[in-house]
Amino acid sequence: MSHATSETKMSSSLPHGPDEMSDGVLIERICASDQQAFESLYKAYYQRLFRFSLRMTRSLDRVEEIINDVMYVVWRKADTFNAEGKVSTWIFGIAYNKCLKVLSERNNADHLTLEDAEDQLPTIQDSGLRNLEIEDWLSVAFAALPADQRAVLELAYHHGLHYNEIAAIMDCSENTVKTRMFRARNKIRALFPELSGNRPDFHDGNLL
Amino acid sequence: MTTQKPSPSSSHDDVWAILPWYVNGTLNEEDTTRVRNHIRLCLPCRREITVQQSLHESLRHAPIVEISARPSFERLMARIDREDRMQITKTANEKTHALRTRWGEILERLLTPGRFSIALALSLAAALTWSLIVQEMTPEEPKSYRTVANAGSFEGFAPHDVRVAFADTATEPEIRKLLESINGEITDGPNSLGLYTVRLKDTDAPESSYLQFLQRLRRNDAVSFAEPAIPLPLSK
Repeated sequence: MSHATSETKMSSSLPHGPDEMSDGVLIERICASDQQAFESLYKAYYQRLFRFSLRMTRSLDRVEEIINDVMYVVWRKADTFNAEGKVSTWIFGIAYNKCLKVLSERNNADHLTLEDAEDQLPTIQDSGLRNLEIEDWLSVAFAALPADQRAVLELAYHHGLHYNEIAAIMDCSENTVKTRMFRARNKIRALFPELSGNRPDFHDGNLL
Repeated sequence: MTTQKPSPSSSHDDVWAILPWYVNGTLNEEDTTRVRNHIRLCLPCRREITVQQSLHESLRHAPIVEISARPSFERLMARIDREDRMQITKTANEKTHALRTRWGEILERLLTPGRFSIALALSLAAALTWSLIVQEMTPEEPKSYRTVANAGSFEGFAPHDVRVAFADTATEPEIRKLLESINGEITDGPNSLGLYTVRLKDTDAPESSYLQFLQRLRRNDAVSFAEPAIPLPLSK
């Protein structure tokens, strides 16, 4: 990316954002055109939005555009924010829609078929899943999922959100969130049977 | 009346569906208890929890590249600044057009058709020339975020001043009523761009009162544009 600076560094820690109360205060100040508050909010959400947009679109060159489009809406429409909801839900809802728009502008499909995804895997039979870099197999796993399933996985497991909050972000029902997660899990299990202990262990409804 | 117990498979399906949220720790107490009770007897669910925990840990701790937000933020502010300037120019052009139209109507009533045409042509030519001269002479509006280089362009403004463009449909009573309601007064204007300087009368008011003053101006239908005359300080 053109704006990568000497400040780039590798980190395995999760980005920490401000709590919900301070987010609300920042939005109030942004309503009054407080640029300092806007910059604080921008910096607080930048890393999370970067990661989410990259996971969703798998397109590094569009990530900054998405983030700035999202925060542009926050700046211009701060007075439309419903204070009964969470700021993070509102911002990620905007981000999700922006990512979908970017994906819809692409001519090619936004995800690989399972067969194509399997072709991208190294010889797992020889090296085993453990020898793959985490980012490698995650990258392949995400490539095999459509955007809505990627979003559910990322929001649930990286951002630690409950399915009702994910439903609010994705503007769908809670059951739809659970269904998308169910399908994502099945696809990842099909790609990486090792995760289930070296054999496919599909849900068959049987109890012990 | 008998209530039907949920079948074992539907209970299993329900628990299976919410296992990811058991793993990420966001389930409420009731659902957590339900899952725990179920997995005591269900090996597939226990195995699935292990699978989901692996996935959860991988996604939580996948290495990320931290990139500075500052350059992106500056590009966004430059975009917002450009749009705000275009809005100021558009508002000024609309006001100039309105003035020309009114002036033309006055001339039409006072003059005969022949004299009117000459007078109108001369007036429009003069107005156009004047507006071109004024645009050339008008200093560039200071950036909404300051640098040392343009610090002097805020001379003449007080800390609680706001630059305001009133809507074309705003009447004098409406403007007066607005200013009274927010304890403000016009101290200057209109300038060549049609902007007024509106000041909060209580110059000792805290910043929060000034921010409310600004917000109420922006939200009023009589106001089409309102920005702090001296931009609010940025973070270091």
